[in-house]
Amino acid sequence: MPTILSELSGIEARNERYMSLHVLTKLFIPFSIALSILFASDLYSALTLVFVALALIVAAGIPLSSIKRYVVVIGSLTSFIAISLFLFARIPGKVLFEACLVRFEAEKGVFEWKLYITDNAVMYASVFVSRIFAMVLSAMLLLGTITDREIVWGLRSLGLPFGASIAVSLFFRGIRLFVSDFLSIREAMTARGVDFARESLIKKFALYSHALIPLLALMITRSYEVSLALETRGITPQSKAKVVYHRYGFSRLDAALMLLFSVLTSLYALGWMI
Amino acid sequence: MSRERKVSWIHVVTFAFATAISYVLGVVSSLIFPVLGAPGVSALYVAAAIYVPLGVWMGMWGALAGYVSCFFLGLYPSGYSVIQSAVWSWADFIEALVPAVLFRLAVKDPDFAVRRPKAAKLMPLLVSLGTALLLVGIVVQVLWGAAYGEPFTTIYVYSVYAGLALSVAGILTGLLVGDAKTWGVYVVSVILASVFSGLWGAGTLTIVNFPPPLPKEAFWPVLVGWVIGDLIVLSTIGTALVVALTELFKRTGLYVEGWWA
Amino acid sequence: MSVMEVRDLWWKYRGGGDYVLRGVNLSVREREFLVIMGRSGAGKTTLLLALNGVIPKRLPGEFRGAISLLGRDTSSLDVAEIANYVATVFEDPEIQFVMSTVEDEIVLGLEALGLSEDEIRERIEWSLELVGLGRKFLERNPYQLSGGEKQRVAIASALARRPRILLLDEPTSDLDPKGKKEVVDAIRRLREELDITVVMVEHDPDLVYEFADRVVVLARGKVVASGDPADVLGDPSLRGEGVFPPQVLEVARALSLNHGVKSEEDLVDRIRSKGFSVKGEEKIERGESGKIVVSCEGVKHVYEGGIEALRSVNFQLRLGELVALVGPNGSGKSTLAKIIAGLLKPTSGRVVIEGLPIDRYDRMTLSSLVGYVYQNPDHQIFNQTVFDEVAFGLRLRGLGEHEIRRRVRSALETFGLLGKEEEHPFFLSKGERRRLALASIYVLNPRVLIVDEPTTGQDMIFNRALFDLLKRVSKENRSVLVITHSLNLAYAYADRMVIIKDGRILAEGRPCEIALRDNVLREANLNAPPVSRVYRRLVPESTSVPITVKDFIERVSVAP
Repeated sequence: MPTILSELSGIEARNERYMSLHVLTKLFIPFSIALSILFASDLYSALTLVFVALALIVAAGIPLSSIKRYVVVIGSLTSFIAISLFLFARIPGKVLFEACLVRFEAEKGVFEWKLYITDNAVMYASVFVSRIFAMVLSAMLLLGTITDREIVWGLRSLGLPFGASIAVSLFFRGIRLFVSDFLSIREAMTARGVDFARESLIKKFALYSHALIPLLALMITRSYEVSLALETRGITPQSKAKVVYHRYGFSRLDAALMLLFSVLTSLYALGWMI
Repeated sequence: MSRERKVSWIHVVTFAFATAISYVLGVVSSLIFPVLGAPGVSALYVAAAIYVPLGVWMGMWGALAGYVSCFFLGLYPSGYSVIQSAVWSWADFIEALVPAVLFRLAVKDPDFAVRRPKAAKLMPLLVSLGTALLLVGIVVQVLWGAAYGEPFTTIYVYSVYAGLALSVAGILTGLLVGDAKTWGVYVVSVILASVFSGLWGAGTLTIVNFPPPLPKEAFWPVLVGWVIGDLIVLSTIGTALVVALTELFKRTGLYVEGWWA
Repeated sequence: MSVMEVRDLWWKYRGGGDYVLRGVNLSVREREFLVIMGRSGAGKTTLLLALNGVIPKRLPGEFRGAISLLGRDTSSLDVAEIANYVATVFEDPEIQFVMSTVEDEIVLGLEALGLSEDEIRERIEWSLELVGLGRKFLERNPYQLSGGEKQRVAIASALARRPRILLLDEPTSDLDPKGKKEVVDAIRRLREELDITVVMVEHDPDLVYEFADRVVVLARGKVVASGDPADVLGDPSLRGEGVFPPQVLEVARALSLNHGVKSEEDLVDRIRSKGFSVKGEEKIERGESGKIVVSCEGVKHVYEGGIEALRSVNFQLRLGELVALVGPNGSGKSTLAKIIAGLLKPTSGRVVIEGLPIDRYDRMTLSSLVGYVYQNPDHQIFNQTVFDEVAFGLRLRGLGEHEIRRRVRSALETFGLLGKEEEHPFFLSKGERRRLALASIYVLNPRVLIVDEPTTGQDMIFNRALFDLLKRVSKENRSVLVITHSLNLAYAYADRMVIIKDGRILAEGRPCEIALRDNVLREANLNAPPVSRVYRRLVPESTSVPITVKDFIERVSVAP
């Protein structure tokens, strides 16, 4: 059963044991890491979370090579953090590097804009980057281990009406559908003579924007047709029904893991408070 | 026999599909036009052109579409944790909520017919440029003007006056495009939506979140990039879509006069 | 006993100009198989939506009249309550799927009935079995099934709720011949095994003739005919309403053999019993060939993931011909067409357009030479007025507004869209949007026109008019390549037919030659026209066969 991440990006979790955990457990674990990130204020606690998340990703059977999809994100964040802290802040500490970029006399004093790198700024940046890494891994874990089917049936078993669960299901179906529509529309523009590779950025922007009109018109047509079909299935968005067919069992392993990660988050919270 | 006005499948399905489109466009925008260092933040966030008009057309469904699409964008490919995404995504909820509220309170039956095409072409330029100048001026004053005085104060003053003048001109030009009430409310919605969502978005990325993924020093650059980007997208693409598709939404019965139905 | 009664039903969609249903009176009897026919836009689907309660409860508009279901006025019932008795299967199977597996799709409607887990399981298996699908389909993603499988899953989902009445809206029109056969077999099975009333909207006279107990014809929102299938289908005054007889019936009537002829076997027996003679076989003339405008040599295409869509295909298009490209879904038809249009690059092989390799052309020039019309016209409509849509390509080429106006007007005239210049394309009918898509490509004056599945969901009159038009276009010294599942039209209109399967061309030739190639047709899940099959049973040693009823009547005479 494809997970959300595999639907979006082709990355698939392969460990059946992990995948057979209750959906609540699979939701709780990344959630607890995300919550723990909140309390990680030093490098070691942040790095510990990184390792925990990595270990879980390996345990779930998500290929580590899939992290490369986030390399741009992590790289970009790291650069931005460094720029923010070294160019726009003056964090006290032992100065490792200093360079004046702009300097002039302003009305109320000398305006200086400096590149100012101290040991504390580097440490601060490292903590940020580690937290981001832990955060990215927790997001990967969440998406890589939950299937859209589990979300759909999970919402039903929470007693939410059909409207909620079907909306979620259609959201995932819709992603594929509209990517395919967008590509068809783009191709149809090419068939009419548009050469996207040769157009300027502004013209490309205008053309892609042009493509949104048929995309939305198609969305309206599809919505109309799908909703007509749904109307005839004997269910309304407000109706609810007891889930009798898909029941996910809660095992001892689920209980143990939820306890373990609750303890982890509690320890982080305590450490933060102390 | 009359049709009952309650939430039906057409609302749910349209919301789900619009959210899917918004998500796909959000991913594409943030990859093609990124704001360096702020994943998920795009210099030209085309997805806003979907859910903000959806707020005009379908009220709260547009706001919900903004929230959900941003939530998933936060998870993948931006890599924010589920809590951070859950907090951050209210930015896009607010962005679509603004026009949803303004239209439901002020314009029950919007008429986006364009009677003066030249005004329609000029309006986005004036609004975007004006608001951008205003914002830049304010940022300059906050960051440097208060502490250093001149020349930052002068830059601030000129930017703010020029920005205000252009924004007001943009609003007035907007009134000339067609039905004054519809277009007036729309232009104001675009400006307010961009600013409010920018404040929340930049704020929850840098100042307040669990935890904020970026340092607080990044607030102003993220805010400026966010607001200007949204203004450009909403005043150009968003406008084109409301002009092209409002009648479609009305004639197919998709247009929601209330908040949900 | 009547299960549904419609009395003086009037319906107008909000924003629509006129009433779509005008005083419809209809009675549906228990266990009957009722077929509703009529031209596109006659109100057939609208009538079905009224029968299942969606109109007027979910769609905005003006409603007058009354509908009763099993003796109860439907105005007092919610759509969900009506759905306990009436199930609907729509033309496009994909719009009926909202879940990620076949199992979940069927379960969706069943849990709402308050059934136990065992009952649900039993119904899932029963309904899948009934439509010829087994347990192995349970975990499959419905979007990844073939067309025929998708539609059968949709039928299974509908039947699992054990409705009293099943509404089928053109259940086979979106399908290739194989898929169509699968669905027809499923309908046949449910007809035999279930005590169910069926109301089906259908254009295909062969299907109608096989299944219908009664046929009702709608025209401009009114019932204009109702009765026995043979009488209604054979009524020449209903041709204008898109009602055509199946070839078997048409031949039977032309030869005054009407009574009791229900199938090809019956027709063959009757002709034999009467005695017949054949007026000499038509020689297949090799007409003058036009100049080769497209040449594909050894073209191969492998998609990402290793899917081999085309395997070393050699193919040519000549000016002045209409070529029909036929084959099952996934056979490579669209891939080949897109490679010729330059929208896909072949993995290997050569494509030559007007003597030059295709990669020597820039995008603009190539798109002016080879026009491609998509199966879904909505994929290629980008503008807000009909005029702008047709002008789009011309504006891209920098033509002056005066020239643009002239050419757009001419194209609109050719495709019957004059007067609609300022209309929003979205508000055109599907047939009009299809013509708009054609016009917007035709206006660029391409030498080669490729049209992908233009007849899906359209009535016979529209389809014949479209093929007439395409034939005329081909005679303007152009080449027209049509991808189609409508075999009867391909046989009737094409100068040449090309059969493709699994990325290989199995056969090509004139329709009358193709109709003789039993092995090829069988391999590609295609059929020769009924008249060809009947003729071959009468004249087993024939070397050429009639393709149309007219051909058949000219060749075969029956003793009085």
